[in-house]
Amino acid sequence: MMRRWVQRWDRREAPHSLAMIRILIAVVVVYDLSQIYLLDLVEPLYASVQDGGIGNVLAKKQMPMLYRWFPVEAETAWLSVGLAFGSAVLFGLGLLTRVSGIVFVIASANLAQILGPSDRAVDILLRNMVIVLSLSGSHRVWSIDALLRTRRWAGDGSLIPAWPRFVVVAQLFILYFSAGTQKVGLSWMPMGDWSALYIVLRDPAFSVLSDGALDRFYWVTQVGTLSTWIWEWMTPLAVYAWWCRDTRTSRGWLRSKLNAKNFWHRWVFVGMSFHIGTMLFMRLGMFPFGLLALYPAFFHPDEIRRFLRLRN
Amino acid sequence: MKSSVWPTIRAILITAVLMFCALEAMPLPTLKKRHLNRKVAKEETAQWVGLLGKVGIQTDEDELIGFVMKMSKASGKARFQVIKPWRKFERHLSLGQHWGLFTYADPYAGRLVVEGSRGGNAWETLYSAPHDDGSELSELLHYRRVRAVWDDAGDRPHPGKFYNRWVTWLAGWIFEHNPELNVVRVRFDQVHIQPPNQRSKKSRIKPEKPMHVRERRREDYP
Repeated sequence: MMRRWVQRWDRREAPHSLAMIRILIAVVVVYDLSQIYLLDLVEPLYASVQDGGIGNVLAKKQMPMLYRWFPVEAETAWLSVGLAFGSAVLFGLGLLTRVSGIVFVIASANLAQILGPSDRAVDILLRNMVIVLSLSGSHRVWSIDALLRTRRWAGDGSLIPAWPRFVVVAQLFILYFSAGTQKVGLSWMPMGDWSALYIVLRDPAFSVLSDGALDRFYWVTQVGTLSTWIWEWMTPLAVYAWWCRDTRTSRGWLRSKLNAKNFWHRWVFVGMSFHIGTMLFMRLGMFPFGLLALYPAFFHPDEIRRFLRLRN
Repeated sequence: MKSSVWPTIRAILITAVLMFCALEAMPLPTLKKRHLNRKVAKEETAQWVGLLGKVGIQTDEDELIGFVMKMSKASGKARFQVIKPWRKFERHLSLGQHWGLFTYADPYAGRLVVEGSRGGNAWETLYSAPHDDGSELSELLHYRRVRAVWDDAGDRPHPGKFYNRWVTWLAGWIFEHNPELNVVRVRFDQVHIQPPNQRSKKSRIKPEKPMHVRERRREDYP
């Protein structure tokens, strides 16, 4: 069993899934960070209070990284945002990919340390994932690194370790199952009235739809609540279905049932629909985009290549 | 040598990291007294007492809260001890595994209202959540990093340490873009969100309760 476990993490595959995740994360992050500049928020969000900022870096027990190395003045706020933005651009383009990925994580963590509340779950998730991608071979295709190394944008077709993609998948499993099991409010649960989604959709901080429309389609929100709850609680079955796809030649009633019904793709499709729903009907910023950027990990690179009609 | 040992070491390292991550993400309650002081928590506690009673577990609200707090403290401490070395690494890079996404839907949400006045008692509404009129102000307030600073304040009995500084900055921005205004007032109106089947005629006309009201005057700005 130990040998099989080691073999699983030692597999190799084409780099397309991870490269796609790298590019999508960079697009989402670069767009989000550009808003800071366009809305003139660099100093309000990331300068110290004496320079017009909301946060107070001087009052912190431990100063944010860049404020330890540079003076506490407005220029350091610009440097903080600039570093995060620049490294995200390089990471997306795949230039010095590994270094730019690590620099992005440090720069993004620095922003989180300056003004904690402005850093949300999706920022943490993407930092987690950029570290993994920095350790991967995501730059072996669709990157300037690949272009410089092989003179081809599409790389030289060499295989890379598959474990980083498995780690991204594992992170999504952990996130969804943890989110599901933490939904302990009665309005989410069978003992309640399935009104959670209705309440969340009417919260003035996130609301997009009118109260009238939500009242009229209350039953739809109840179905949405129930589906979300069941879907998140089904994560362990999805883990098993993912395993079953890989071991489809082995025996087992549940394995053949899950494979025959294509449970895995259905589970992934429902997840995508939820995120597209939150994108359309809630004001959550980059959260759904950040999550969807990780979805290529659910697909083998060969599936992605088939989808994009790429030849070897 | 390298080819036979490295895959094993790597598999062990990945397994260890995933175990730390899974442990950190486990849904162990880490509640504090202040969490249970919220209106929604009080209502849910009462409902849980009723539900537990139906399955033969007799308890009251104080006893249930006491039990949950005790479990919360013990489980939080145990988890902290196990993941301590991992947390040290995570903290430097602001990583983590806390995925409490809409853990409970709070029906007592806050509606952000921003008003301006030229002086006297005539106030004009500049923004009232969730209204998006495409103005620069609503774009600013809806940007997720700005919203993240204010949206929590509306759901809590105390608005948090950033709230006053955020109001001061926001008022400065408004004064700069609206030279005719002399006073800016920011507040949250607590709304009670009730599903249509739970609504009575009385609750439909219930006024929204203002909270965390702050005013800033132009003369206080340089």
